[in-house]
Amino acid sequence: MLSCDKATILVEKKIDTGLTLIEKLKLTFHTGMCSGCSNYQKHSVFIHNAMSANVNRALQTVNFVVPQLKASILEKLKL
Amino acid sequence: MDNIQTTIRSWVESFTDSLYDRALYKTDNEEVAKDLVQETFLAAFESFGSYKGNSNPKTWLMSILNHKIIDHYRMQYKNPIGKEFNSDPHFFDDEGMWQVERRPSVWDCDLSLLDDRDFIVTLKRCMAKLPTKWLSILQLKYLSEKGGEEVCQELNIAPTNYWQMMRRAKMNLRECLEKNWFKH
Repeated sequence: MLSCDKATILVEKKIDTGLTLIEKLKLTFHTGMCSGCSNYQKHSVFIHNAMSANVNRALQTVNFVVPQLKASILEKLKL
Repeated sequence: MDNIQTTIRSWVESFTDSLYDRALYKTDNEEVAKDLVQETFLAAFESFGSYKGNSNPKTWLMSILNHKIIDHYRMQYKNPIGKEFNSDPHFFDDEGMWQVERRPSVWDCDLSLLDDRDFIVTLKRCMAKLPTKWLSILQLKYLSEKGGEEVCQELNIAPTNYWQMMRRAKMNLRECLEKNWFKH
């Protein structure tokens, strides 16, 4: 049986390029028996989806920085 | 030319907000974000000739910014400064199976979490804890929206090496999220 070490690498490969049939079978068999890796797979996919979402979120108020930044840019470009 | 200057000036006025917002979100560093926005406008000014005028200026500026951000992470990957782990925390035992205390637990998670500001803050904090090299490769992959294959080619690393690094990055990120959010 696959080790968890190898299984988690296969998870990353799966997300990236997909797996060969044999790899798929091995991984499915392993995650069917190993809750740690089954959870890891879900979490890794979640993180993958979260980072792919690519949504711009304003986390901080930019009010202080931006006016000064604009002035600085205009100055640098001699506009 | 007067025309270019007027245009760029109006772009600075209209778009610095959004550009800075994005740069800050992607780099988590005020000074770096400011520099990148500045470089973006400089590049726009210098290569104004290649701007077709029929595309949305914001889109054009954002794409310049994205390239600057990618270059930033590429540099960080090649020249990592700051924290590096001397040794990977042991996730697995000698047989390659999960250590009991590090085994992933069940999460109650779905993508609606991305609308939760507090979760995003936690995610960003966990990302900031990652060693530079791993964070860079994560960001490179997701910023450029390229496949892993292209990232490998750009960084001149083998795919297995790439998957191993992605795994390490994700294992640590995952554990941090579990400790600080899902099991809190």
